[in-house]
Amino acid sequence: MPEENNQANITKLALITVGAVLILAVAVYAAYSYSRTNQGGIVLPGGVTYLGSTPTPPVKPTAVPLKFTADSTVPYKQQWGVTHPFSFSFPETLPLVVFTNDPTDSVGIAWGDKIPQENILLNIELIADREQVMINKPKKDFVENWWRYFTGLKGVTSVAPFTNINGLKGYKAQYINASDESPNIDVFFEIPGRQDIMIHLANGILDQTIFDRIIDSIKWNSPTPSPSV
Amino acid sequence: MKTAFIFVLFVGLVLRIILVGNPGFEADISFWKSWGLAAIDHGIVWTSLNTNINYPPGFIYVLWLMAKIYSVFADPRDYFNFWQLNNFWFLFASKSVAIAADMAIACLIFWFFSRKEKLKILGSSLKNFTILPLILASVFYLNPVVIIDSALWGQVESLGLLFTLTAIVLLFYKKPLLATLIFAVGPMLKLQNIIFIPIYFIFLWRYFGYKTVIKGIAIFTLIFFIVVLPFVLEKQMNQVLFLLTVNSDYFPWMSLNAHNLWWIVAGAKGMTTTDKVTVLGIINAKKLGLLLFSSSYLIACLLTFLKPTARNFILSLTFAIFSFFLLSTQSHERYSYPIVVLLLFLYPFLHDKVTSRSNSGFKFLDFRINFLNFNFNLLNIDVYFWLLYFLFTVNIFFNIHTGLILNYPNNGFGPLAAITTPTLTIANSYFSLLLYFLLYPFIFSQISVLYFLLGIFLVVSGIAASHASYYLKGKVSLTAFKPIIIKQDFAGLQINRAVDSWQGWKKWNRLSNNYFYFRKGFGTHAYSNLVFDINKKFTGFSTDFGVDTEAPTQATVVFQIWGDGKLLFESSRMGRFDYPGHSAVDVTGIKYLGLTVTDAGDGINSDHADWFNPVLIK
Repeated sequence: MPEENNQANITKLALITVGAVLILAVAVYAAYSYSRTNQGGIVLPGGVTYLGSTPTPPVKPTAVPLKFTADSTVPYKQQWGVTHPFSFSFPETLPLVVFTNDPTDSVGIAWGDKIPQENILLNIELIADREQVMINKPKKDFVENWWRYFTGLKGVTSVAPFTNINGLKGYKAQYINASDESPNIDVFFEIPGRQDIMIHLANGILDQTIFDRIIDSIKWNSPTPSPSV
Repeated sequence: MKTAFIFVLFVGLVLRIILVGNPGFEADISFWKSWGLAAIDHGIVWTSLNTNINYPPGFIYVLWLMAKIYSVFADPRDYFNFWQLNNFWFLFASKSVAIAADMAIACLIFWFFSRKEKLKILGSSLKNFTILPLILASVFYLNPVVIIDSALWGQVESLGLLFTLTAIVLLFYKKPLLATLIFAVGPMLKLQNIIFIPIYFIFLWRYFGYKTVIKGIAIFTLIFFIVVLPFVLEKQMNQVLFLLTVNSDYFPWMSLNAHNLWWIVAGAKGMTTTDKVTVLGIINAKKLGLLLFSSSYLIACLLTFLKPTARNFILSLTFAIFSFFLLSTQSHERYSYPIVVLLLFLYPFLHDKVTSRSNSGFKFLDFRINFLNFNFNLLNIDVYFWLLYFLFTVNIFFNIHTGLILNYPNNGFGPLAAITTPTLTIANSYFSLLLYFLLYPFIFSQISVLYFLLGIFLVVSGIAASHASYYLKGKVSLTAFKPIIIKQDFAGLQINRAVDSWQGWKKWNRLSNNYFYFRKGFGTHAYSNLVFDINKKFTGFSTDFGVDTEAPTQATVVFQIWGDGKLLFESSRMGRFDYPGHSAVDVTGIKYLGLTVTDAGDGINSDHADWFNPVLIK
């Protein structure tokens, strides 16, 4: 009898264990499925910190600046701001990243020989943080003086107003760096109803055609009121 | 009963696993990815030196463990998967540490409260012990506060607390040295556990004697050095100091989403209101908060010192951590978390009818609140406790949930997020204040109510001391104020030191101009803007100013003094070899005093500028 009891206990225990493991497995699967329902995307920690090895294979030093290109057949997808209602489209082969709790809502590029923190495609310019008096001045003045906030820039060569196909008014600017060169194009967009911020993009490592297409796709999706002072 | 407990453990585990898939507090999780990856790639010390980690050194081992667990399921060097926001296996790996700690605490509670005889020896006169262990362990383990913190948010409060609780139990089992060995680990994982240290050693002293305290301090020190051994071997002990102090003024705000006194003062804008604003006379919020906390902490210490029982030790720890949460500025929403655990440890001892006289010798002070023992029967004590526990749970859960959804609206519970408003957060802050005072009957049934007056006396004395110079001498050094705005284009503001001192104590320089030295003032660098809240309490302001001796010879600056946005004074252009200038301006009715140093139009290079002996006159 005791042997039969023991056998019954072992069977019962085995069944309970199998049942428990099954329930745990279902719970893990449910949690996994739940995580898949959340919006993905690469999110990096804010500030300068360790991110591991670079996302692309090391590029041998070359005299030609590294440029990201994409075939014209590559589909484009949408990127939205985390805290601001901007959006734009970009080639799906271009790896973009955002940063946690970032008031400038920066979008970085995880490609090439630079870390994303040094490879920013878009950010929100918080004008008051640059210079309080600029808030109430024409936005073109802010663009013309933007170089003054960086010790690595010496001046501005041109500021050209334009409007993209979504009706956003912007400025294309070229600044002079410490080597007396103007290798980059910086684009600033005014935000309807907002004096305190502008959208800023820099072409950086992007092929000019791709950058222009991104510029044209920039949208501000809902006008928001200025914060009360 | 054991079967029932195992069932509860299982149900709680399933609940937690289901919640693991929530991205939680995304910033915390992404930082832990970064720091954990650094720890497994390059080691403990390298991580502290090459990342923006702001946790104590012991936590880097936990990060290492998280990354190692993740490595079992996926490759942490697979950039595009590892950094995905909804990377399930990292959520699983990082949250599993705290979930394991939850389970360990539940087991500890169940085991400790199963020892009836031990509880009686420790002073519990509870009659029905039969289902007590199951109830207390379940209330903790299935508590929404505990679940949201570990399984949803992804924080590790329970891990740090596990060490403290284990130490408490070991003390009750008269194993003080082993207890201290384990206790010492807690503050190295979560810094807020340092709040427990003084009370712990007071109890050690009163319960076991001063020799045990000395041995305990030796063990505590030994554990500290074992934890930081990699730093010792690499001669990076200054980095340990940095990690232990970096959080001071890291977020210089009134309240970091903590629904406390300062959340009310800031009008539900605690995360954007500096705690350097003047709130009482010439005292800023941070200082006043420190005074209030100190007085409350004194009461907690006195309780353990005067009546060193198991009950009072746990009560002191509970009261101390809630005072820290409630009365200090820069408090996080999660700082009140330990209450939901410590209160459960307190419960079996609340039925203690012992009303022995104070051991303090101050018998004339022995005016105790006896209503808990005198008027209430046991049922009423139960009702009071469980009602209080329920209210604390609601209060803390709402607070932590609000902290989560303010940053990540999609990661909380939808219906609760929908009704959360700033007004409700302020109401919850008043609720926290009420709960603080509802703890008083437990305390002042043990020690005299007059000790409460001692606490008030301490606060009043602190406020009076802060105003002594103002009322007695009619003037106050501006260095007694902390700027509410600090903007400086190079290095960091130095008080009573020249700006190069920002590099660390080996580079400390006194303030000086052409080799004339000054004791007080501000060492800054153009472009610099300092704004002080002087709260309309002064009529005059005088100061000297000049370029510091340490500046290179090409330094050129202009000094400006502003009052509520109006320029009150502007110096001429000053260089490295100019003697100090002097200015005295009228600041009657001025709330915000601004001190600006410009680059004189030729760039900021070399512009080390000092404000010498800045004095406000009543």
